[in-house]
Amino acid sequence: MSADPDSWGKAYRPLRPRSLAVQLVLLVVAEVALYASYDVHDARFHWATHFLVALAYASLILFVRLLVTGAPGPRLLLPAVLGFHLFAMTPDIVFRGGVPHYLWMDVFLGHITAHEMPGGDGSWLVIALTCLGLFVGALTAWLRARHAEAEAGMPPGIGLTGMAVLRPQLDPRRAMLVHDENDETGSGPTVVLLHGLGASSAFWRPVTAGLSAAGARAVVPDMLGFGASIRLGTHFHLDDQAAAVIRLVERHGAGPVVLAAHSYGAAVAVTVARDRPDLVRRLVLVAPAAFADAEQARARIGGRSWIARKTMDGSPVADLACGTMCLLRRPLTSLAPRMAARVSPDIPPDVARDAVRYVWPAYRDALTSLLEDSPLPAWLADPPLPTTVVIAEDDETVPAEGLGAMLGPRVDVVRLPGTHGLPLERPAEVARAILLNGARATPGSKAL
Amino acid sequence: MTTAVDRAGRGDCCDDPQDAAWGRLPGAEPPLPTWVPAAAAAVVALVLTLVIVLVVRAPGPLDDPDPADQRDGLLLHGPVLPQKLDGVEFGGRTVVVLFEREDPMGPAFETWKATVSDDGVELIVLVGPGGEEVARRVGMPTPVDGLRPVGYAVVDASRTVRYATLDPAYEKNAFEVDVITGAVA
Repeated sequence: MSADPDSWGKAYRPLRPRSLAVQLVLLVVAEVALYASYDVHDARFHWATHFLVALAYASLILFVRLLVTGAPGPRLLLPAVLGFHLFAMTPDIVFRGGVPHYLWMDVFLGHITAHEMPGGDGSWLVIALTCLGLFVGALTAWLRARHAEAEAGMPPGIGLTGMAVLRPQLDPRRAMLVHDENDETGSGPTVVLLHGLGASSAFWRPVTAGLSAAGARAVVPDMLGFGASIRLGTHFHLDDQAAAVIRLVERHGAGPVVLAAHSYGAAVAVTVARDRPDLVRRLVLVAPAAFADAEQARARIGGRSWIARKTMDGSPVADLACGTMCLLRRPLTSLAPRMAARVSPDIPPDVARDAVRYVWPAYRDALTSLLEDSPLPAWLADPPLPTTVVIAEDDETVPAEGLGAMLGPRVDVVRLPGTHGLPLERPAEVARAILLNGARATPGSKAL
Repeated sequence: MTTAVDRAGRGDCCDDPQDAAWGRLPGAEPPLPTWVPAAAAAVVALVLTLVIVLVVRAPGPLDDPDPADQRDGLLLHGPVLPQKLDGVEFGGRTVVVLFEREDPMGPAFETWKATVSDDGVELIVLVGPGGEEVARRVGMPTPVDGLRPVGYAVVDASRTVRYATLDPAYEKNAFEVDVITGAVA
């Protein structure tokens, strides 16, 4: 399993005991000094109000930050409280410089009206401690989850949001990928179908109907971090995904399988075939996300999706947007099918629902792998195993011309009219392409 | 097609012989034990409660019953006073009216007076029953003990009341009066 200890170290930095101890001393000294500055002017209750307001705001913001980013921060946790306190007391600082108070100064965390709170500082104490309790509760759950993952021998789930903030992810070496499986025991081959980015096994359901009819046994997993496998795994690079698929294939013990994959799933399928050629009889890559280089990948994928573009650029906006989406995953999963029904009625409701059912690092790492370490170009140029590529003629993400130019002479090619969502648009033809059973198509020809 | 053969967490793939070899990854363990944040929060709650109880005293007999209204530093656009009230003339310059229960004296008061009455500000000290109408018209609050207020009001050159607060410790806070009079000048 791939892991990046540097990123763990960075995420854990705000929690280093020695650093926290130094921060605590700094905070206490600074607060005592601020208290003394108010006490000189017989204004101690002002210090108390603004400190409690600052503590409440800081706790809430740290709480939301933890939920959205899946890691505690900023690096200096305790001085954040001091920063909020100084911000809250800004009008008092400028007052000492000769500027009286005005009502607009409420922008400084309610500097003017905070004193109007019924119950005064007693109420603020309750509010501040409640907010602190929220943050501490979430941080405790986050720590417990990461401890549990470490204990299981997994890399910690840094950056995992949604429920993964509060509960540990499961170890994909000990829990199988959630998958659909038909009960065919006919003479057909076993076909394992891998979905693409932002999808799940639901994407292949129209195709598996055709496979079942032909007597093929179909196994369709939700890959790590996607669909119903959302709780599986903490790292989602190609080798992580491939290892999980290999375990699934090994568990089914059906001998070499036909490995069919769509879009990003093709990169996983090729990694599986490269690492364990003994498990793969043939590869069928439908609209594989193969690009000549990282720049082309960035242009093609980024051109189709704002969030993908931001993600590939490494923009923190993508982290924020996706972290927020993960927080709202539950309402979004019920909303997505209804929205899809209006915008694209052809998309099945379960496909629309699973389009938002993934953890953010799984999406990010999938995109990154297409940019940085995709094995597809090399494989397609000279595949060591029988490989069929199904090209969608109207594919805007992976244009037919560009893809065709990457294919070596040993690749069987099937061209079908349709766009990148070919398995949804032409399930019967895609099923037939998967079940070619060794009948070779000519490169550039329309086999179906 | 049957569905969902295996569910995450209920899989039966735990018999890999390599499992025993998978130990903890170095550096994967969070640096803080799980109990620390809760313990720290409990200590913070205890300390803060004690500090608030000790630091935030209840209003004294001379203080405003509502602490939020005492020395709030907020400029008013209050009522306009007549040119002469209780023998005090308003208008043409900024006036600070000090309400006291006894004649103020001593070096602390002299220092306060010198600070307050510079820059052309006139200081009027009202002691005893004479200034009740002024106190009423400028909106001086009534202290907790219900007797005469101890504090001050600031009336600008156009006779508008700009500030009125109780401040039994006014001698400590000359700079506050200076800020207010400086702002209305």
